[in-house]
Amino acid sequence: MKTPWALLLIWLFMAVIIVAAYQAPPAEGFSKPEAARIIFFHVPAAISCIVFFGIGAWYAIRVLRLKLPLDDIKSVAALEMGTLMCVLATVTGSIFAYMQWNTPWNWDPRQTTIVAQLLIYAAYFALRGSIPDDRRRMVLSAGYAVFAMATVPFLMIVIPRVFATLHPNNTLISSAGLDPTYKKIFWSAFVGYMAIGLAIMRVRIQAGHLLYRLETERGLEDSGHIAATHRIYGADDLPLVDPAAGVAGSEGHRTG
Amino acid sequence: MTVVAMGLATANSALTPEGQAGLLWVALVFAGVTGLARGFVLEEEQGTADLLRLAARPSAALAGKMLFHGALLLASEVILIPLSLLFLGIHVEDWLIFCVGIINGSIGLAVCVTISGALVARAGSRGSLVGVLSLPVLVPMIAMAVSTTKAGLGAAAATIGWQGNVGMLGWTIAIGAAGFWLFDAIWKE
Amino acid sequence: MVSIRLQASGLGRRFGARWVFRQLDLNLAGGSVLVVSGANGSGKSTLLKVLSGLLPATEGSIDIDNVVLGSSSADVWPSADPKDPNTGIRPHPNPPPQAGEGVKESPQAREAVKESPQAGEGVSRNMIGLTSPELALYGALTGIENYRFLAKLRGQSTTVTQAEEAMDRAGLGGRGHDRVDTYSTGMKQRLRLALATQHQPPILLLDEPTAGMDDAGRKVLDGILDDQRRRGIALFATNDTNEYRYGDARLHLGV
Repeated sequence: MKTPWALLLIWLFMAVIIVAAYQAPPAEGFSKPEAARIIFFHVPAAISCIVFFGIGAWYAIRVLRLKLPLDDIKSVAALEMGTLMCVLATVTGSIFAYMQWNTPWNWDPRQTTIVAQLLIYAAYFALRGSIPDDRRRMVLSAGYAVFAMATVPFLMIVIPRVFATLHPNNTLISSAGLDPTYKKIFWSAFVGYMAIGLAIMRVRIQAGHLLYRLETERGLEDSGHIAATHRIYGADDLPLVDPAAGVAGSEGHRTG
Repeated sequence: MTVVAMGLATANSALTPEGQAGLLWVALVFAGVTGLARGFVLEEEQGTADLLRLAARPSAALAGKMLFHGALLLASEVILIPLSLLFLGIHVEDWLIFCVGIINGSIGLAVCVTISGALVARAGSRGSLVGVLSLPVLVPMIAMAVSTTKAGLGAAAATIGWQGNVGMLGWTIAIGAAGFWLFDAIWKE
Repeated sequence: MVSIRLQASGLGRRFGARWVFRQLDLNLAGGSVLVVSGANGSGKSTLLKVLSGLLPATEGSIDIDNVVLGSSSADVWPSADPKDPNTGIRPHPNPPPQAGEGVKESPQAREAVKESPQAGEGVSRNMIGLTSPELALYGALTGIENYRFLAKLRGQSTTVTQAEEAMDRAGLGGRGHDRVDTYSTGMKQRLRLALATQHQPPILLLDEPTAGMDDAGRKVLDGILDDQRRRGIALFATNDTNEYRYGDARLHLGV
């Protein structure tokens, strides 16, 4: 499937979901029942964030094992998408908090951990920016990405469940939690988010690939005619005179 | 110094055990992260890291630095913990949980600090990045350590304390194992 | 003469976008000394670091007695006819690629098949000795402490007497128990030579070993090179045309 067609399809799919989201009945029990529809956009963003961080870590492990630049490009693209999804989840969460509790931020455990998570991944990009050599950048940032992933289940899943939080737990899995219509729209929205994310990731990988080739190409031009990066003089050439420097070496003889 | 600052800050207010547990670990983490600059970062700065790379097995270099950070932390704890107990007026409810938690947490802290030190040193990044880069390995560790110590001070159930201890042990082993694997990959880059 | 072989094929290293050297082939047999010459910044030190395993190669592979080190590239050039055992060095058998040719390959193809760091690690540690002016010593330790610490890391046990003997051989007799901080440039260089040769490596990489050395120091170096010829291979990076005589052949970088 060619990318433009895939993108068009995803676009249509998401349009349907947005319409469907507004067709869903307002949720009872919230101070502003209409606003509860934001869960169709808030929670899928959070889940796809975890998935993209996972993809990024998977390619990071490959980088550490095989040291192929292409895996590095994929890893970065996935982590960029994960971070973007993380920001989306934070922003949509704040909007809902503002509607529901009249304050965009109340240091709920889940809000605290998502900020920590954002900080951890911001450090990933800061780390990349601070290493000039591409090979070292690739390996070190991959190592960091593996550790960053180790915190994801802890910060996004374990801690919010241990502490009292404003967030409901297990509504998605248990049958009692969510209205079936809600569930259908919700999981479709998740599929839509993933599809958009993967499509953007694909474009990023292609761009990264081109950038890498551009860099290597520039390197080739820099070293000029590669044929002359070194020259070898055999034993017969001793005493040796460096023709390029034009220095006369008069006393060259073999020791040994 | 940390203890004095904390003592001054809390001189006239009665701290909850939760606050005390948190402060105690702030001091210990501070001691651990300060040691960062004397491990791999120092080797890279003074240029002797290449000497180690030429002569030592990577695993030996990493294990050595872990022992170093552990010893450094132990030395500062011998002074830090009695002082904290005294200045902050901490009353320990369950000594077993408290002590096991501190020892467990310190070992974990030393392992985490060593590994983030290796990463930081190779990245050649100084200053602000150093603290942030050690976040991923340290955050879960500290969270569990604080909850264990809270149980030791009687502010949480004993089962939570033991859960925290098991969690810390698991995290230390996981990070340690991942660290040895990772170190082989980054040491000679 | 020992039957050690050091081979490198298609070796290349770049920093960022700049290639320091590319398509470098080496084939050295035991008993030979190769002088590496070239202007400042031509990549002598980088080549020695890559060969020692301190820096990974960007492409190509290093082969010491059939153990492959570093990244082995997918576009390694096929080896030509059997090598000449005398000079031990041959120019590249294939024409180098035109600029731009390599760019058409995918990054994967370019950048290496899997390597075996485990196997390579032990080899580089036990078989290679490196001295370089950039190599720092532990200034807070004495010369003898530096010597014994490194020996221990290399899995050898040395007594103080053995370390003192090594100091004497390096011409540091009497100063072995002083802190390295107090050493002069030449003395540090002597200590580096002692450290690089303490495990009697079959491959000795000398990066500007005469920097800051007096005549007596050069005599020590002469002795080390004579020993090395019996023990294996030496590479000698220098800018000084007078020092070309140390080699059986010369590799000139950065023409």
